[in-house]
Amino acid sequence: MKILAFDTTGENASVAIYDEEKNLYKLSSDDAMNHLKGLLPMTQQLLKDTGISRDELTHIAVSVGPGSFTGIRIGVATAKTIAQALGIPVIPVTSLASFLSAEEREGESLVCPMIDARREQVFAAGFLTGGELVNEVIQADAHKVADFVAKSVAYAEENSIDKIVFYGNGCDSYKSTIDKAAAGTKVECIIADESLRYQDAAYVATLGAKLAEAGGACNYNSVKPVYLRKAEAERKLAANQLGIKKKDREPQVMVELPPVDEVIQYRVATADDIAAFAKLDAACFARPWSEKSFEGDMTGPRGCVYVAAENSKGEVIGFAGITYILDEGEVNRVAVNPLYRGRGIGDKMMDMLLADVESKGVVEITLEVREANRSAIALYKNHGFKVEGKRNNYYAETGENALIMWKHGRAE
Amino acid sequence: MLIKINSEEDTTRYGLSLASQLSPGEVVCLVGDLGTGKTALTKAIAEGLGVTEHIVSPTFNIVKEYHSGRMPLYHFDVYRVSDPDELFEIGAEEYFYGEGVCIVEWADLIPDMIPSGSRVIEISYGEAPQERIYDIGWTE
Repeated sequence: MKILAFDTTGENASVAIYDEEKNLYKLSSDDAMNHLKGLLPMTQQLLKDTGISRDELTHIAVSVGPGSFTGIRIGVATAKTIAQALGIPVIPVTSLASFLSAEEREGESLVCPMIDARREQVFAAGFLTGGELVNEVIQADAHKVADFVAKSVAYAEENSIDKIVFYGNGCDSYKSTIDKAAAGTKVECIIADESLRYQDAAYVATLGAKLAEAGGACNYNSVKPVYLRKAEAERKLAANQLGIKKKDREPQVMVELPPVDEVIQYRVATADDIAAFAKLDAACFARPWSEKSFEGDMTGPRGCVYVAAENSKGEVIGFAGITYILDEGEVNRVAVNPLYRGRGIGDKMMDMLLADVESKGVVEITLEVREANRSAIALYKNHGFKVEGKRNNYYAETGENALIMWKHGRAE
Repeated sequence: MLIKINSEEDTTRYGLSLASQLSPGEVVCLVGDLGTGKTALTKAIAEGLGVTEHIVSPTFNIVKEYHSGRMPLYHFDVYRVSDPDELFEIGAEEYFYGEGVCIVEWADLIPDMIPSGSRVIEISYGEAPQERIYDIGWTE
């Protein structure tokens, strides 16, 4: 028996060969961007390295998902094609089950692989393992991550299982969910070591061999991808209207595009501007600041300066604010009315704002910005800020990363 | 936000300005009747992104990809999509949560697939023939 195995469902494609003497050979891609392109070249390389010819292969094992949509398609299509060409059977293995072969386990444990499915969801299942027996006690599905982790802990508690082992990139994206659950239970919640945590063709090959022995190989025609997508009925219940925010549905005044040469005035802002700021913030950001947030800045214990940009009608079309204490400040919010972008208003506001606080002795200034906010990052770089750090998954709702930028004015 | 568009020139100015605000991974929903200018606005946004290829309506292709701009542009027209599964099979989820910008014409036909926090531009006719009204919002 010589099984060629693929896993393309995760961030790094891999290939493995498992033979009758239980030797396992493997190669994985280290190029996250092009890992799928490397699948066949890696396969050829592995055959060459092991001296095994393709005619010696007896089975193709493939991870059929869940995981990356494109990855699943490429893995399954490649496996089916090679199986057809060589006239050998395919062993379909689900990515979640493949983690059972990640390592040897003693006693009973609850194995919970979680693959990030975005939107606070994971493709996950709970397997109870003990000796040779495996039971899928939590059905493989697209679960809300908080629900799945809670279910796993509840199952372990109710069945006196003292440890849960989590695998998959869901552990990285939603580590805080696992940590929270772990804090509230006596069950040991273990996150698998990085070297074992992610999908691997080696797992597919090892589990594939067991499945083949139990009659799990099939004709290439029968192999289907497993996406674990929510059932259609559930999805249709979810929404029948584009869920536009209620406040965007309120009657509004119609505006025209501002003249290209409109003159903009800049001034220091006061508490009277708060209402206008909140309104503008709501037009600029999907998750806007409330009036209370601006009040908190302006009336709070830290020093605070806000500048406002006004159009020819005296309407506030931009603002920027800093809070500071002694010589350290933090830029809190910069917004420009979408209709006025691209006119250098952000630039002029930052000029004014920085000049003001610098004259007050604030020399060390920091800020956080969404990693994907290209235009904001460029604005800050133009004003002497440099990226000095990153906080992963900082913005909880979207999982976006935050970049930490600093402007150091202190003489070295 | 309600914006009065007086002419195709305004559409172009707005599209160029919107393009400068777009980050990778964003989805822009264009909602409006036939002829309201969804594709015209898409062309303006594409221009703002630096796309040099000619933009055509994706009514028959469902999605067209443009890679000549500063980030990938994925232009969808889901008018002919009767079944959301069909859209899934095209890989819509990977596009909508990917590294480029998605512009989705007729997004109101596939509400449950649109990511939360997506921009929505509802286009309606104004009084004069070349006038349009853009109603700008965000999805929850």
